[in-house]
Amino acid sequence: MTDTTSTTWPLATPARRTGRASRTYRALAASAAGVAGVIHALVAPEHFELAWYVGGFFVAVAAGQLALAVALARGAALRTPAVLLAIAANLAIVATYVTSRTTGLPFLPVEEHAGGEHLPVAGGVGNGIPVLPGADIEPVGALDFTCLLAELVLVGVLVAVLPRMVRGTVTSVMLGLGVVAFVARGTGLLA
Amino acid sequence: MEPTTVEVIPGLRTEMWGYNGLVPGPTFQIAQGRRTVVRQINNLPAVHPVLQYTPWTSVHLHGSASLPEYDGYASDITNPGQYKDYHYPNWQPARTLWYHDHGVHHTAENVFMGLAGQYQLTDPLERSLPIPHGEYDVPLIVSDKMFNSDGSLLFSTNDNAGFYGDVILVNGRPWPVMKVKRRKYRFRILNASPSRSYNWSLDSGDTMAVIATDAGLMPTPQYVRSFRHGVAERYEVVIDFAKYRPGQRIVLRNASPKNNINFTNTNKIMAFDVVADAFSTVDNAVPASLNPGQATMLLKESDAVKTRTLNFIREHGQWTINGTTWEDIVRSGFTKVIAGPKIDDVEIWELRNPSGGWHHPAHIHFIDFRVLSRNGRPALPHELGAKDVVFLGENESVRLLIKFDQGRGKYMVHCHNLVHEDHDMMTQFEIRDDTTPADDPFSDPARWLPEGPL
Ligand SMILES: [Cu+2]
Repeated sequence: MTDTTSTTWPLATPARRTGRASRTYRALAASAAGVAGVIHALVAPEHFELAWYVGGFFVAVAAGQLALAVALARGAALRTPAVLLAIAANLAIVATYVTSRTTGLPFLPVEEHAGGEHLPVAGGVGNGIPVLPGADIEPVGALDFTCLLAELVLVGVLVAVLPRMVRGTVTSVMLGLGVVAFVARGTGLLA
Repeated sequence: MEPTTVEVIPGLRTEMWGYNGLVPGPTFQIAQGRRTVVRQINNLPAVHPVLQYTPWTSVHLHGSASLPEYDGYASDITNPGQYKDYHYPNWQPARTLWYHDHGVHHTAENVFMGLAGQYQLTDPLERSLPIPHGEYDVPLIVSDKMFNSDGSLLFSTNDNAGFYGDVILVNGRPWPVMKVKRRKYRFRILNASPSRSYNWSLDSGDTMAVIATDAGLMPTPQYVRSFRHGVAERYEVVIDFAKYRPGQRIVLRNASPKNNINFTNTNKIMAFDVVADAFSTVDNAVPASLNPGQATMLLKESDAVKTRTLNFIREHGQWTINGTTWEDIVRSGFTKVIAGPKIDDVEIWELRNPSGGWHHPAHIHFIDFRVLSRNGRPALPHELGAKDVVFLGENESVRLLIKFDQGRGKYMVHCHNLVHEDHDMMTQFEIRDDTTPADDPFSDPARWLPEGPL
């Protein structure tokens, strides 16, 4: 959201956010959080097959996003610290997603061949299983891409409802993080 | 088996693994009836430099009726620092065999690193025929690789579909050019790619004479303008360069079968430059009858006492045969088998690929078979010889006639797309004999170095 947009809705503090525009924001954010939460809940079971901590992560994310959706829909007060926390959490989820689809996540179990653990090879040294570069990069699918879009909409709306001063700082920080990630990738720090 | 540095891409160095440090490995030429022992010493590094696995090996001589303990049973492994002596009987009819790694979990990677070579068996019939011999009998070991810009190998299994490279190597050289004299040449073409299948043709549009398949000389030569060649199949092909003028270039092309991953130059393999040099006119023919007594090809469908079905299917994200994987075999303590034919029985095995999304080069160890039919129609012309690998194209099913008369014991059957094999499209059958017990695949395990006496 640009400053032009913010002057269209001159709402300096959350407390003053009443009326039609605010309700639209809330509805949009609530549904975006709801969509993302439901998708994470749907795919949680298959991620438990990978490892308990991966499945647990999906459950936690789903719970958080659904709780946020309910809070927004019920008209809970948009306190700046809470909104900032929601923005940071969802950005972290987006970053995790982008990493899993580009460079791969480092802390995932390596091989899911044969549906889980592997029988040791009698007399074998090590487990003999190649770790292919990029084997931990997941393909982009329709469901996960929808989830990403929902999260981006959610973050966008949450940023828009921030007080103007805070909003400026937050957008600068987000831009800065983006530049850092871009440079890191360019220099090979991020594969 | 040891690491070696080769210059595949001019000016760049590629770390590979080779038998005696050679990629491909040394070519064996063995006369029928002479038994051989090959000592395989695993001098590979303790850990693969990129892929981080310990490269144990199990050497399979593909096309040989070896005893179970010398067949390269996937789980009968030789760790780095160990060695194993492989005994080969060599009593079978003349044929083009090949040896390659078969170690469980990383066969595809070991072969991609270079662990493959050709092994030629000759016999009196093969030597007596006026087909090209000697310098006119040329192995063509075809594989595909992918490289990083620094020359190192690039590894990708494309989500377990297979290894597909953009560089075609023949005998370890990318897209080579060979000078040929104006006469007939015999090429022993081996598809040593991990996953890629080919469809050969000459850019002149001329025919080639297919004279031998996996298990040796065909009853009669088959003249084809193009033919399909799956992983691990061997075809001996005679090309006659007599009709071309000196200076002419003939290109061996590849019209790829479906569901390979292709790149700009994977549609060509190598070129032949015709030269005017003098040549011997001896053994410059393709007789109309080559091997009419080929025993496997004389088997009759009515001799079959049983029909079995093997479905090559994807299940729960795994490649399987009748839903069985090598993991299931391991879990059973290597007792589980998907078929237990009796010795000397003749059976029909129907192999099916019900999917339209991929193909499987299916290999049955130890035995030779005759292709009875493909999709209810006669076998393709180039398949009219005894074989041990059959290409299962999309939605194809083939019926094979097999006589289990060469020995007994447990042998593997698997997809020869090595990535499919590793993940985990491999199982085993057992040839049963009530009177003579069979050797166990684990009965002569690898030993730790230093080497003992041969
Ligand atoms: Cu396959």
